[in-house]
Amino acid sequence: MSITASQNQSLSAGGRPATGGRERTVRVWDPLVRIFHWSLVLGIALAWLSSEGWDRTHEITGYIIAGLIGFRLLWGIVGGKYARFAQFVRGPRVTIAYLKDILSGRAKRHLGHNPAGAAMIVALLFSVATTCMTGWMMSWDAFWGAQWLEELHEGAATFILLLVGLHVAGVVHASLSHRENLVRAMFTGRKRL
Amino acid sequence: MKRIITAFALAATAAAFTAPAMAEEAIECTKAPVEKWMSKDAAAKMFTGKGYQIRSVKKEDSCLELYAIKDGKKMEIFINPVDGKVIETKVKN
Repeated sequence: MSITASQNQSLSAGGRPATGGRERTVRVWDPLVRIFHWSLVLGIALAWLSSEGWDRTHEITGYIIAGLIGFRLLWGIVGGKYARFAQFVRGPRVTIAYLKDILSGRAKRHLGHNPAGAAMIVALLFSVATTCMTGWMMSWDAFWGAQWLEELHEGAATFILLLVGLHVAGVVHASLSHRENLVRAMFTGRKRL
Repeated sequence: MKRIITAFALAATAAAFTAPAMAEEAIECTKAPVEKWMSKDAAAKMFTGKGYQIRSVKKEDSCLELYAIKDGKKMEIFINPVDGKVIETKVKN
């Protein structure tokens, strides 16, 4: 783990970094995690935009997204520290306790994914994978015209949208309560210690 | 960084407004009210026995859309739900 200390390390009287001074940060999100994240954002946006009548674009986008998900599942096993599922995925008890902490405003800051964020990642991976799988199956001879499959595909896709809304709300909430810009962190990969 | 985030926010907003515009214009098959339409079964029967395997029929705007397979090719056939005339056929490749 690399630590950059910038030129301006002066601390204010309160012991917090002086305003305007740069904070000590560490790299948390590796480049592949960040590229994956923003590619998935673009992919899902494009999949939604192309869903009514832009079949070819929609299908190609779907295959690319499926590839992204496949990569992330692999990276969650062999990737760097903060990319690994074992580092952040928690059981239901810890997750529910953390969600309660969020509601009561005393959720602890995590350098990597917090338990709620981790649950969101699992939910998103699962629903995006389901959407990809059902979308692909719709092109099989065996399922041509199967309305239940189309409904499942659309239901899963709508569920992604719901999760995205919650995800963004969670990121905004965590950013505000821990006074850090998590969106920026997903671009730069760096978070303060 | 602010600029990148602003660009993303703008792109997301633009996308939200573009989505309805990108939706394909609905094909018009009839102006007749739904009460005048033939049943889905009747629509399917027009094609079966002519080499078409009809998988399902659904209402799509002012059309009946048939999911069919003929000679191993998957296709969507949009018909006028009153007189059964084929308005458009989309063959899946």
